[in-house]
Amino acid sequence: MTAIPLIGGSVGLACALALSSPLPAAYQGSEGDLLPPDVKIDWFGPAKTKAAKEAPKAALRKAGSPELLKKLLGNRRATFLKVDRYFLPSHKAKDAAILDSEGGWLAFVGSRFQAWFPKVPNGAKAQAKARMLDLTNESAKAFLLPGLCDADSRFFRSSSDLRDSGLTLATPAAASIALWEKGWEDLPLTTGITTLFVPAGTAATSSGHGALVGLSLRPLMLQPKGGLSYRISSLGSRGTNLSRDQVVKALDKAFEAAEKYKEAKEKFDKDLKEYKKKRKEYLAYYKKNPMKKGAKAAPAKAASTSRKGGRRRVGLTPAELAAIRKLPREQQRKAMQDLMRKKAGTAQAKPAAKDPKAGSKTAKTSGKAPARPKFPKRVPENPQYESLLSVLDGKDFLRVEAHRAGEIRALLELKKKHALDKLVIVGATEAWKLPEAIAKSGALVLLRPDTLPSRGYDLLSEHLPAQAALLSKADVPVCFGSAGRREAGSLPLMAARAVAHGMSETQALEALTKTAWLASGGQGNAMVIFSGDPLSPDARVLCVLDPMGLRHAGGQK
Amino acid sequence: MNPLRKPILPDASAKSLPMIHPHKLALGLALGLTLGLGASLGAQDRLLLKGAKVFTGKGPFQEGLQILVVDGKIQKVGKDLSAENSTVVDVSGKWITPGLVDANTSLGLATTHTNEQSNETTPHIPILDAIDPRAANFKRALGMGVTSAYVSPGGMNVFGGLGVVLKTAGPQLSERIILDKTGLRMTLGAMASSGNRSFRGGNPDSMFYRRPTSRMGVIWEIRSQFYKADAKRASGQGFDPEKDPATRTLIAALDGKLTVRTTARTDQDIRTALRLAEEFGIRIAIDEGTEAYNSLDQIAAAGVPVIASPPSVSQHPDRAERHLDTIKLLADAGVVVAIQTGQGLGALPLIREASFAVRYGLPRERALEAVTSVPAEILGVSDRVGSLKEGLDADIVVWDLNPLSVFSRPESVYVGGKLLHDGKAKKTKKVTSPRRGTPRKTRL
Amino acid sequence: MIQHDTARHAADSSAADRSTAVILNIGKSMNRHHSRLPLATTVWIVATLTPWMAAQSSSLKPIVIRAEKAWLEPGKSLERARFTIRGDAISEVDQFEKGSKAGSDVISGAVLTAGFIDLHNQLGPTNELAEKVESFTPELRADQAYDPFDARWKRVLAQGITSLIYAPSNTSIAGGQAILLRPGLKPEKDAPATYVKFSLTREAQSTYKRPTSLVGAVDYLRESYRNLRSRTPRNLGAAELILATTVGGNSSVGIACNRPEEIQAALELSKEQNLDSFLILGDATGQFDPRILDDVLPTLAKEGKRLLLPALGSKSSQRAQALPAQLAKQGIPFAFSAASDRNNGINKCQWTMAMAMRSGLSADKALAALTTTPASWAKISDKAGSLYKDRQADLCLWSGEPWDLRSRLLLVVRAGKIVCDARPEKDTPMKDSPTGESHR
Repeated sequence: MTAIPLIGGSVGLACALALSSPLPAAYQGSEGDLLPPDVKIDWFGPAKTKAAKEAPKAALRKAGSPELLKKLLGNRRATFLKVDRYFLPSHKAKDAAILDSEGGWLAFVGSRFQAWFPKVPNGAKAQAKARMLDLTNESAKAFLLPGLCDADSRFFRSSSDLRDSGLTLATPAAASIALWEKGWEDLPLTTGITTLFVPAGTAATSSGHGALVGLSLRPLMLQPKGGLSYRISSLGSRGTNLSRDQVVKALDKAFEAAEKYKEAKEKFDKDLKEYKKKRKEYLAYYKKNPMKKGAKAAPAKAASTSRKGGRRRVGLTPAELAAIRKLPREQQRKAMQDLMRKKAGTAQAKPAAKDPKAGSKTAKTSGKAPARPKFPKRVPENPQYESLLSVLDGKDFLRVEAHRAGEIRALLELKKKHALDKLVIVGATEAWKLPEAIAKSGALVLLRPDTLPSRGYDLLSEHLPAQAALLSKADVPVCFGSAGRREAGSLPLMAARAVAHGMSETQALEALTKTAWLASGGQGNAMVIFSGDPLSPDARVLCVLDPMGLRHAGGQK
Repeated sequence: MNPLRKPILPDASAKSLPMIHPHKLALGLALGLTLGLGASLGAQDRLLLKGAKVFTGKGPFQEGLQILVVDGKIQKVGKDLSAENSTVVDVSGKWITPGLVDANTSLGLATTHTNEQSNETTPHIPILDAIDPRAANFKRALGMGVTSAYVSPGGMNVFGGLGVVLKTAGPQLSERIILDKTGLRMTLGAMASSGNRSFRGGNPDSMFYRRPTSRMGVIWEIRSQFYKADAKRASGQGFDPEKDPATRTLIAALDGKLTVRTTARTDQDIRTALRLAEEFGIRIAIDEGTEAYNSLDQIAAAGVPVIASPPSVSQHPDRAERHLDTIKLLADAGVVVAIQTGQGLGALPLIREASFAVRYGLPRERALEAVTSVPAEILGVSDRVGSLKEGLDADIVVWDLNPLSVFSRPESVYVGGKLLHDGKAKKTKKVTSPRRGTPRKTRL
Repeated sequence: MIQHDTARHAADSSAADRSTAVILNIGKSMNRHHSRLPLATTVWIVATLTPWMAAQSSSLKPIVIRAEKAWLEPGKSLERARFTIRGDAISEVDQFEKGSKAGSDVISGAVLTAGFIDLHNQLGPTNELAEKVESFTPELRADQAYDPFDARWKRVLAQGITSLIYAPSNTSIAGGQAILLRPGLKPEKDAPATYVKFSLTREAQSTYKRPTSLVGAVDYLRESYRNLRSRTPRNLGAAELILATTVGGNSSVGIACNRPEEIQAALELSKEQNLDSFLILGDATGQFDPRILDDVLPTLAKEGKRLLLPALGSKSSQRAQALPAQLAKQGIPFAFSAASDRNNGINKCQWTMAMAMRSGLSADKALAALTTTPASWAKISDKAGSLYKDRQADLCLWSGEPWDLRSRLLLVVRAGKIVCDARPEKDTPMKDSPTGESHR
């Protein structure tokens, strides 16, 4: 495909989002950090213009005023895009997804979305200083939606890295992500996928935080510390001799230990506070009541005193050394030791000599001396527990690969026991056996093509979508991950198959955008315009709007 | 008499096998027609290269020579040519040589299976069928000034098959062929018998339980095949050349119509090769000839050309011991010597191998001849390539320095008058890292 | 979904199923009333009567299918089409009135297409489709290795494939004759050979027998043709007789090749021997060397060679996906081989069309590559590949356009019998897995 230079300027993405299907409580409401606010990431810093600051929050649902239109048309930096339809999901349960068939003009200034206008008069269009781009034509309907998200990608990581069995929960994928790796370049323009979640590992029982990468002119690290991967299934796993049951138990125990660790940490924090308070008192007392002669020195400057009972290293002058060297060889060592001991003695004696004077001044004011406070026992920092704590605190998603119904059931129990807010069941081959339980628990399900029931047959093309349809009928939020590089290209087609099996189109589009963001712990920031319905086979990506600009695929139709 | 003037090379009639398949001939004719047609279409293509020092294929570099290219052929090489109607390329200060000719390569052979090993004697099998025309090593060769190459069958059989001389670049494989089915590969030494097994151990079902398994056996295989062919040629009965292309090929060799490219590395193999040539009256060219320094006089006396193994390579098959000055010694002894990069030897680019030979005593002019005009003559394609002469293909390399300098690089390589490698142009390599370049960025 | 066959010799008949059930019931009642009647007698009665009953019931009751649109052939559609099927042929094609209601015995759906034709199918025991001692065996017939009772034909039918050419594998340079078959049906006695299969791929090059190399493979074939010419027709052996039919294009040749040099050699060979050949791309897993996109397409366009492409799936590379569109652009005729050796998954046909279209192929061409094009290559255009009166009753009924992955294949009719029925009202609740497949 050749690139057709179409427009320039940086059109940053901002979108107001809404949705129709209900989501479990864990994904709604006040978790502000989970999903971004309505008007989104600005890659070029805070809005500088007054108009940008005043941009209405849910602007897409409300047409811009004629005044704003006039103003924007006169702005050289503004870009108007005309589309036929758009799909804009939101994380708010009550909001309906905007799936509008009317279309209209979307206005951007620089990188920021400004307003939506159903119509721009022809006369105004001709005189406009802003760039006007009509992406609609008769043969195809331009369809705008957020860039699709692959919730389980294999790009930017080497396969040996992913299969490393020595990973721990504390290993972040971000540490070994090779953003300069090639192969992804065609993805946005051929499939509309602009966001990838890259897990830390795929084979180890526990591997660390994944990362969310945005595909733009170059890959951007959107979220270096995303969901935490864990793996129950023994399907192709390495490095562990544990049975499934043991793996689940190990996770349970890890959470228990993490909870204890948290308690210990909290106790330490509390104790430390106490200690600081007491130490202050202690020091204050001895400042007022200096020590009597011969008394043990107060640790006035605890940090500066040497470790072992005030013993200090003492150096010898060259003259002394020369004198020692003159002695017979057998005596040299002893002479040196004697001399050093002697010098050390005098060094210690010096500060002690000053004490009596100072002591005599305050000796009369002494009351009862406070006990010397003891430093509380430190809790050694454990990065693995820290990672688990981020899950327990509801900051990060726990993504657990589980396939058998029993594994999934155990996982749901675990979720309940530890009150885990955010859980993604990855793979979930047998999730169709217990859709209600999953729906009730509020876990997400990530389906990916490698979780096939048997190796002999390529059931990929039907198993995954049939499962997706079934689960979403039971109100389980479903998203898709490719678990491969080549497979990434066919994610939209898999969603189309799910529609064939009874998933609604809205749900299918949400599975590729919103739910995938949820499972990845971050949101992409690009918009994609398809020629026609994104799920139909003859749809092409017309252009991709992302923080770095607008790229045009030059697709036919 | 100058050994280079000796009439060792095939005459024009020997260029294609006499018993070629009729439809092949038709194909060749059709090809010729299309080539001619292509040439007439580009009648306006007149190119004048001037200002450079020119090596025409013989002798030293000459100042002030200009080259006029019309329709992909060299029309004239001389001084003060008329630049009328032609594109003038000023290459002042540069060095021009003919496109280099590599007399033994495995370019385009993606597989290691370049021999049909179910039989030790497959003299009629053409290697052309196994050539991937766009293999990357063709491009690499072109980038170092090699415009014509002989692609040889592998050396795992006693009689390996027929090679092909082709251009390293061009639109279609069929148009790149200079001479097909030329040079019968015959391999002496241990390599030809190496796949065969003895009866000790192993699986007796294998087709590899067969002769030869020794050096003597290899030579006997050659002799017996030639005896059989000779007997058939003599009797003329019970032999239909149409049905038995193997024998047909061997008879062509016996008749002296086909050069037998004899791979001989060690001294005993080289002497065997000379003996076989004398015994059967076949016209041979010694391939590799790594230990030729031991039998210089015999080789010179037999008037057999040597396509010498790349001098920079230290490890040679058959445990042949390399001497760095072999090529110089051969040239001094009056042997016609060309330099090859060989098959899978890990050689440097051809021009660097020539520099290597110069480093160990070969005169500069001889070194350049050994990679241009001499291999073209040995291959029987000197009327097409290898020199800058009137009527030859315009395969021209413009070097930035003296080509024998280790820093030299081709600035432009013309194949058939077309600039097919531009060393000055920015590399059109795909962006390997998005850090360096950005794909599909469009801005107004 | 797919009717299970009760009696082995009535493997193909859903009508037979119904009659079998009737007879079984008779048998049961007989057993009940005359408890002395041995079971063997019941079985005998069932076995004798079933084919007869099947023949009776199918001749009595035509199948009527109506669809909002029928693709009579790619690019030519009939709105509100009604097809009546009697026996194994389409007996009537007409239009129903707008808004009229379908009777209870009428099957209705959105779009109707002809059954798909797979030109290169190798489903079955892999070892059985090639001789291992010798590589040149054109006398062999692939249908000898065909097992109509293989459970996997269900999958093939469920993709909409109603005719296929069963071909020898790529591991022999001349493996044998590819035979036209109907999946799951017993082969006709003298099923015609559609083409002779050649292979120049690496799979055909062995380390222990001739040929060991590409040059050797080409030489072997050349030698065979040479020997053929040198003999009088009387003296020809079985292999040579078959080979003789390929000379001058009397019967076509399918040459498997994957790499540029293999394609080059295949073109050269067909030109030399004047063969009516097409190239079969893709190894056993449907992969091929993507370099052919840059290197060989101009040659192919020049030679006007036909190309048979492997099915596309989510593991296909971008370049493999882009190939059909490029071929269409350059005017190189091509067809899809939907179910190659291992790609026997569900829905390959639909995926292949959708993926090719996403890279720019038009819907008509995608459909043609599975229907009319293979039909004409197999020389069965008068029987299959399109939906006209008196054609074979091979139909696929869809819930939407066949190339749109959002639509489903509702019904497959093969030779006048419903062999796959996945209409929503027929959907049974999932028992074992969402696809209804058992995977234990």
